[in-house]
Amino acid sequence: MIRVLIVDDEELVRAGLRLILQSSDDILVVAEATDGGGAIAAVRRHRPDVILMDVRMPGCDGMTAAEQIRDIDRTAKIIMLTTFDLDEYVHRALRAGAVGFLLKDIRPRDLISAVSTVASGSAILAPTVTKRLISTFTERDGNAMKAARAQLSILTDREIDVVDAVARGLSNAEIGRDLAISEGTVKAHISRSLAKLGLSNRVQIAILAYEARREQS
Amino acid sequence: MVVVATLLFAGIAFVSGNPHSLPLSPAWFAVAAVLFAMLTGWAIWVSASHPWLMVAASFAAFAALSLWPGLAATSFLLVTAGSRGSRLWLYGVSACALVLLCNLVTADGQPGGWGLPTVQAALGGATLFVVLPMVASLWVAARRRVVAELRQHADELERGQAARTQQAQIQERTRIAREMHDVVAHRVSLMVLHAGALEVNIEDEALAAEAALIHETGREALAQLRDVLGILRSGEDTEAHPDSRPLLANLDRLLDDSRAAGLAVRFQESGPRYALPTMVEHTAYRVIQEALTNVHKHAGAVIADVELRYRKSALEVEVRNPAPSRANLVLSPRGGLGLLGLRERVELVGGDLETGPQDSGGFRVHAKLPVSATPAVEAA
Repeated sequence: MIRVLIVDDEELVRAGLRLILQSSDDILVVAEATDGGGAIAAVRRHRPDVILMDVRMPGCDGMTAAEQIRDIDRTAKIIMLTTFDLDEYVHRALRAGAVGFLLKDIRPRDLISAVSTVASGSAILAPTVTKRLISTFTERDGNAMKAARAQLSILTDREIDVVDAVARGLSNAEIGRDLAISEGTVKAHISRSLAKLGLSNRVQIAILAYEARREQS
Repeated sequence: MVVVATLLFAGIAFVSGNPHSLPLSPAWFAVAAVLFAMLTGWAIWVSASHPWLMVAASFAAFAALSLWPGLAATSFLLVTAGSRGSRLWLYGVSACALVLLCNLVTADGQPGGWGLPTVQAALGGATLFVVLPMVASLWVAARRRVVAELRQHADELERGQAARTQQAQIQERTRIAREMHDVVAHRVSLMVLHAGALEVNIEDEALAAEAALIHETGREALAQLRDVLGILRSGEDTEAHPDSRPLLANLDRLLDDSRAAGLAVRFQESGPRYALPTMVEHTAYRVIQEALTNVHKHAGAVIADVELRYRKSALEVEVRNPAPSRANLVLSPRGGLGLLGLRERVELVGGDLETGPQDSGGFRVHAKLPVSATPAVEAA
């Protein structure tokens, strides 16, 4: 059973999401919150596996809440919800450790499968959208680049190859094919890179790679 | 005009009948006067293209019959025609010389002597027929130039003002469009979300397919809305932070911002508060925002009164301020731009905007925004 927390300031949005998620036998909506502060409290009390959270809320918004939730519970997977796909807040939430974002008009079955996918530990982002989002909002100033390069310098050459491939939006299987290594090895490289960089998911890796301008396109 | 001028010339010639002119019998004098008058008239007529003809004709008329109107007219018109600098000097000096000479030499060719009366008459003639018209004409020309410059300046100002007004209108319309799209996109995504909820919770397959159709149609509408929004947002996005969204829930923040900028704000709310349509809420917020900006700009550090009145069928927004605190603060002529955008906004939601000075010397902005009788859905 996947335990889900829904966070949105609007009753109608929460109700709609709940109706869709409850139609699945594998998902249990354990709590709802109306803002970031409520979300943090709910995470402490209910320990959800997946958090569906609106980006823009009055008071403590989704981006701020995502940062704080990461500090409380690193295993909880945060999915940001947004009305618009190119949203700077989404980008910042991804930086803060959200595993992906979904548009509020997502097809119900896609929403259910997204929650399952995230709960199983994978990313749910459509690579093209994510790439567009990251390349639109990633800082392009010299300091960010230097910092990002310094961080990446602790990786091995092979790990950097994998990081570049992740930033290009490739799946593990595709990366394995490209670099002529097994998918398991790709996964191992990614988890080692994550551990070295102190990051929690591949979206953050992609953002870092963009900032270092290892992926220019 | 030329005919009138010619007759006038001839008439003057008869009346003046200068004793220094050629020794002619009165009859011949009349004939010669008319001829010279016609000649001078014609020369003036073509003076635009042949200014020297006019000079020659009037010189001849003066030398022969002491007909001065031609000379005076030439002195005036030459300047008007645009002669300046050395050419004008040459004309002035030679015309003066002509007048002096004609006065010093009597009609019968004998020198008139250098007596004081002769010199006085000569100088007087030169002043009257040459210098005075030229100076007058130069003065008129200078005045005309100043007026033309002023007019051009005024035109430029007017054009600039029009351009700024248009610019402000475009900006405000873009902002309205953006807010409207945000609102519509938000509502449509709610519909889409619930259509999806319906789709997965209905047992009946046909009905589920219907719900799916609503869902997909809504998704398409949203995709198109996003394209438009992308264009509208391509400019600066000043409303990035949710707390700066134009909602009345964020009004406290707006008022605090004004207070931080040195404007004391008193806020008063009356009537039972109810949920407002989003566009009405946006408009109310913008009215207050713009009015406070204007108070700050034009009245300085005064106490502004902001009032929200929840009436049965309309929300009333009023912002008042007393007379400017400093005497040197005057209403800037460009003060109306923001109000212009506001009027558009207010009219967009079917409301009325009244703005104007108060009897006490202050300023008042009042908006009445109608609200529909069924605001229940908007509560979300």
